[in-house]
Amino acid sequence: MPVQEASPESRVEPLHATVRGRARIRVPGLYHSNQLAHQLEQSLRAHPRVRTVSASARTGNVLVLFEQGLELDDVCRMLDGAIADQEGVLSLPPRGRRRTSDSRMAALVTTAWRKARSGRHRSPGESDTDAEGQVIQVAFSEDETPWHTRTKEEIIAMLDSSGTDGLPGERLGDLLSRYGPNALPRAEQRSRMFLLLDQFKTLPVALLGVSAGVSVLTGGVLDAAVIGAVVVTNALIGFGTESQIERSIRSLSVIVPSNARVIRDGHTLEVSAENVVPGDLLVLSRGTRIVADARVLEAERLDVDESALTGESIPVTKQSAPIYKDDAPLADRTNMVYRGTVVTGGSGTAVVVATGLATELGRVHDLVSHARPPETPSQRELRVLSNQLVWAGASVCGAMFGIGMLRGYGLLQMARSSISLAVAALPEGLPTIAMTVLSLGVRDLRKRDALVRHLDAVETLGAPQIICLDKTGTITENQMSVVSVFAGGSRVELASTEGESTDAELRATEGSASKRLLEVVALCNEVELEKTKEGWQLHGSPTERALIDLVLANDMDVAALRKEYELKNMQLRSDDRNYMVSTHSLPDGRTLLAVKGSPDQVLSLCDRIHVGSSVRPLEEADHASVEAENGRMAGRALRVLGVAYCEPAKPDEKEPLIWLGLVGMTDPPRSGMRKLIAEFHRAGIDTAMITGDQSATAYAIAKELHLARDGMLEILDSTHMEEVPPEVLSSLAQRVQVFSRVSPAHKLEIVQALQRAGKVVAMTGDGINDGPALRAADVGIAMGATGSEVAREVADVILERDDLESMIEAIKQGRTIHDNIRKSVHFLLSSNTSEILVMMGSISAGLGEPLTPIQLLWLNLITDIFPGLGLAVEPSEPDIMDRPPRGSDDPLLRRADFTRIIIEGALLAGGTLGSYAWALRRYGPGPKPGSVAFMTLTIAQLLHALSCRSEYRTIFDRELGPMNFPLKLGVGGSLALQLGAGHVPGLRSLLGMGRLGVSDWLAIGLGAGVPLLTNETLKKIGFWKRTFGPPSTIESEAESSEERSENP
Amino acid sequence: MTRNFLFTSESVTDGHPDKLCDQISDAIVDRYLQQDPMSSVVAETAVSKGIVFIAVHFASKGSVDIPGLAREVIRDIGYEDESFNARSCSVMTSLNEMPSSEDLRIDERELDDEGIEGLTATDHATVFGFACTQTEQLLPLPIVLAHDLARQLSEVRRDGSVSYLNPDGKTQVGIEYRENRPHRIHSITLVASQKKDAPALATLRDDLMESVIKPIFASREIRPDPKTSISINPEGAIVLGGPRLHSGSTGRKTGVDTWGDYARSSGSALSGKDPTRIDRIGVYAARHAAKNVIAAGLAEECEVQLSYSIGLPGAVTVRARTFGTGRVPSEEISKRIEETFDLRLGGILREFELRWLPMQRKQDFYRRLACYGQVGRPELDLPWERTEAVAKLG
Repeated sequence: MPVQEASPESRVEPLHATVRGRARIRVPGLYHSNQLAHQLEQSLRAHPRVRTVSASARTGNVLVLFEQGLELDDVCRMLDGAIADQEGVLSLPPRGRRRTSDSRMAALVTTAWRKARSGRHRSPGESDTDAEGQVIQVAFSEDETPWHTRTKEEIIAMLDSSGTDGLPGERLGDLLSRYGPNALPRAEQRSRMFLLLDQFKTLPVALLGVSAGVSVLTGGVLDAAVIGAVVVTNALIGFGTESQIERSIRSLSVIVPSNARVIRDGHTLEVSAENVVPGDLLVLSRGTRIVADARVLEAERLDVDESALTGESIPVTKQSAPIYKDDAPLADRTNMVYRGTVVTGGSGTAVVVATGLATELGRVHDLVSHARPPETPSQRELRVLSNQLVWAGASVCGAMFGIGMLRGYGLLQMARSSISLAVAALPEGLPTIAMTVLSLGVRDLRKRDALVRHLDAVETLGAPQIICLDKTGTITENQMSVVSVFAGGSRVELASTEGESTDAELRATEGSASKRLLEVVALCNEVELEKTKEGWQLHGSPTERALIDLVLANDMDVAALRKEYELKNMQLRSDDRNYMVSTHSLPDGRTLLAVKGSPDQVLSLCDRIHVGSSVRPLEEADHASVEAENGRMAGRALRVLGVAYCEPAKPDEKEPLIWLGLVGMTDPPRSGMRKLIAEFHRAGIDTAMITGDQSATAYAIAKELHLARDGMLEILDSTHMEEVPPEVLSSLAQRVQVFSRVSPAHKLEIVQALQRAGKVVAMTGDGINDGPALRAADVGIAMGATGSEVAREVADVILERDDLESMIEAIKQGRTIHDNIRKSVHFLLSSNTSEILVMMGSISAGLGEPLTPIQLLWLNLITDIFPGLGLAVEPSEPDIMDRPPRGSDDPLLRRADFTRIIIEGALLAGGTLGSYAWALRRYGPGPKPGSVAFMTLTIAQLLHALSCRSEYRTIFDRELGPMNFPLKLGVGGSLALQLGAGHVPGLRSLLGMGRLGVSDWLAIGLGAGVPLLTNETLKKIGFWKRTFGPPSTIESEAESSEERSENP
Repeated sequence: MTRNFLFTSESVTDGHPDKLCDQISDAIVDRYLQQDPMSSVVAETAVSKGIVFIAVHFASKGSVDIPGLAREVIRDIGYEDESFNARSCSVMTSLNEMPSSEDLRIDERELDDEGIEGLTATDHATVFGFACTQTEQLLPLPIVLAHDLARQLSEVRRDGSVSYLNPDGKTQVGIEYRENRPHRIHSITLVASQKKDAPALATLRDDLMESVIKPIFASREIRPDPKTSISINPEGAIVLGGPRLHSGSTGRKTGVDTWGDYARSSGSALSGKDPTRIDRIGVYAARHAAKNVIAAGLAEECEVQLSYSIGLPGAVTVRARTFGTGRVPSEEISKRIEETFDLRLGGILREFELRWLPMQRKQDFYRRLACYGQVGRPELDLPWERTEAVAKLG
């Protein structure tokens, strides 16, 4: 059936309809409209004759398979109808308008994304976020209702919603079918076909293809076949690993189902994020993940972290007034909240204006989800390297061809040999090997409860030079208990374990300071109590739970107390106010203000003190005694809270408070933490603790854990870190082991300061506020079990058991992977070098061609890939965690490595040429010397694989441990193939192998063994400078003893 | 040597960055000694812009929230502007906890003479003490006047009479000597920092003239005369001042701590050291000796030099100089000093109860020394200012 024009009034355009019953049709407006796609599919599927229909918002086309009896015209008409139906609902863009801008936008966003990704990796000092933010902003301000310019009332009216009661329940179904579910589609999987085809798209493979073509032309059909075999083998291996990786990456990005709090019909309810529709009223509070783009209606100190979208790490304060600027950048639309961002403080409501793919995040997501997983740094390095080597190899082969011609060899013969050498020398397996190692690493870490969220993180895992640890939750278990109370001028020490008796003094009479203190901490407290069989179950923060535990231990009825003192208002701690105030009203009409928080701040609000059962003015001496007691508690590493209250005569007025006392709590470090810290230090990784506590508390823990490697502890105590000049902070941060009184928002500044100082930084986190810091860190570590969803989402590694032990494993794995990639690259390059040198050397010396083209190709097939893969999965060397991390900018292979590779290649070539020369002398020209050379080089290369297992340990070193199975298989199998080939008649003649006598084998043994022994000797005598020195433990001890000397 | 000369001494207010550091260092010493009198502490502080650096070597049973303490000192001094205040400044602490030295943990009050011999200097040190008859504190007049002015400058800020002042300030007094006696006031300089919204410089000059300079000289015999040059902020208004403007560190104001450079003083810092450090308490002992010599009427000016040697308990050299004002030969005075005073490390500790004062007095002791001079100070009742040995010397 010919392609026929659709009727002129039709808006759809058949593109491809040559096959009967199958049509691809362009639909205007479908591009980028998943809603329309969904609708079109729905309505066409309803037709009995339509077999399948697939509308793609990505291409803007619809593919329809239909049965006989239906014509293309009908299909077009149906589509037209369906579009018309939708027009009432969706505003379709006029034909042709969107196309250009869309593709431009796509390009912009993908570039931005790529930039962000690469910038993420290492760019001290410069920020890519600006560029990223900027580009995305340009991209975004294309169309769309400028919601931020409208007033609240306008928007509510436009969406037919209500600012107080939300949407009426009965309209939900309608809206949901109109706008579709509020979900982002999962990334489309690359088809297997694509994946396989991709394998042939690399430069080395292309050249192999050319070689095969030239071989055919020069009469080497067999050569071409072998080259083909090489290509296919490589492609299959690459295909295998890539699909494995794709699988593991996809499994990493499993989306956690999330809920949203919305107001509908005037009721607040929790609904699945998917069911949120435009017009819904979102309830925002601290920690809320925003599930759709929405316009803010009410905001009470509403701070939102938009780093996921804009890359801007400082939370944005939101407000509800309109912004009369159409093209305001996304980050400046402070009356909008966007999907994927998180409320870090305050509260508010917002009305949803866009869901699913229509959200800003949805647009980015839609564009990047089709992209391939990004290349990792070492993959990139290897790709560049192998391309460079391709050209280097090609010129070497050209040179050989030239020399051969000068020496008077035949043109055809030389052409064939040069091509085979080029094929043998091409490092086609390099990127594949890196991929394999990385994906195996991800799998291995998963088994150890460390979830690596993307491939390149595996490599960086081994690189951190400093690890910043949260005190709470990471170093300690986050289990608090009250151990000391200082009230009414006396101190009461309590047992930290349950069951032991508490002091009678604390259960003092009605009206005493202690009693009042207990009441206040019970009231000014967010813990929810739940009665269970075993007693009270407490839900809330550890500090507050500890307080309730104390109150309960003193036989007070918290529930009754809370009933009597009805809660009116609660002001939580914020970044700039370090105390919490709750207002309660009593049945008799009085008001009680209960306050707890940082002792200094609470004390500064007080002008009276509660002593005994009376209240008197606060004197200088009271200040001194409170401060002394605070210092003493802090000195015992207690977390100290000051408690105060007042009963204002007029509830609305600010009145000075009445001081009650101090409560000291503790949260001891986890067991085994000290050993872990020592392990980090042994691996050359500095440790720093980040805590909001006072420095004395932090000092006590840091001392106990030996956080300082040289015994000298440096503490940076800063509540306003942003005021420290960046360059000063950078130089200070490098030396500091403890950051005290730091708020979570400062973590980002710490990470950036360390990065500016050139450090590779790992950072742990679990809180909502930790997101930006985790994202900025080279290795962001989320504590899985207790961590917030945000932390998990931006982290590079998630420790499922909250156990830093698995971090040690992860670092070890990261280092091993880096090592192994180096080892196999090292092996591949040195063996390829040896092949080139054998051929070049022999031809230039006029000794003829030692290896036939087929032999070269065979070599390439059996000695490259399998031993290389075997090396890639070597277990870690025993001292891997005893050496300092590699430098942050170190390339995979340094200049010294290349020198070494060439020298080793030359040794292998020397051995082969030696035995070849011997055989040539003995047998004269013929196949025999060639066979000897072939056998020698193959065995020498396989033996070299063993040598490549360690850069500095000889194969006789016991510490090296046994070979891993894949390597055994790779080397053994290849060896067996090589030896076996000599006994398979067809193969033997193909490879041109002659029969070898005892003396030949002796020569082969010598030719293959001597290079190995020489290489091992070079290692043994320390010929190669160690790039990773042993940890400088001795050095630092000496330093610290010097430090002991008194200062002037 | 000419007996007619001009001599200038300076003092600074408690808000001066160097003095701020001295006070933080000494507050740390106080806090450790209050918790454990046997503590050994060396605390050095430096401040620049919004960052306070504190390096502490210590061996103590006590535990001190050092950054918290530093903030407390800054708050007490009264820094409130946004560029530098107790809340927003960053405190970088470098803590080096040393193993407790048993030698130094011995309570000197329970030691017999032999035991005192066992407490030896840990370093070579030469220290000086000075006294003269120029003022009732037996200190040179320039430094006494400079201190009085500085204190008054700080006082009018605190009591609100000149409310727009900021804590940082400096005073200098030049005295014309005739026949080795103060003759007239040659010059007075006040440098005061002010808040951002302070009135014009002229107002500041009038206010300081009225409320600082005039009250100080109201009851004094020696007063500015019409020829006295009085400069107030000669280089113009200093807005904010303090660490934002100039950095400071512990021990840079030893002249201010002692006699205003009128006589020699050793270069090492006094503040931030616990009392087992001879380079600190040696100065007190030398001043005590010199003051008693003057009080006993043996000379009009007396400088006492004490030299200590490592490993020895007492002073290896006791040398008094009287600059030609002595009624008895200097050698004789040196001999009498040696006979009268216990100049051994342990002796000084015991005599002045230096380790126990912060605890006994229930308030900061060393921190109060850190500003307006470590000698003189009648209001602090310093043990080394007592003249109980007059009879014995005479």
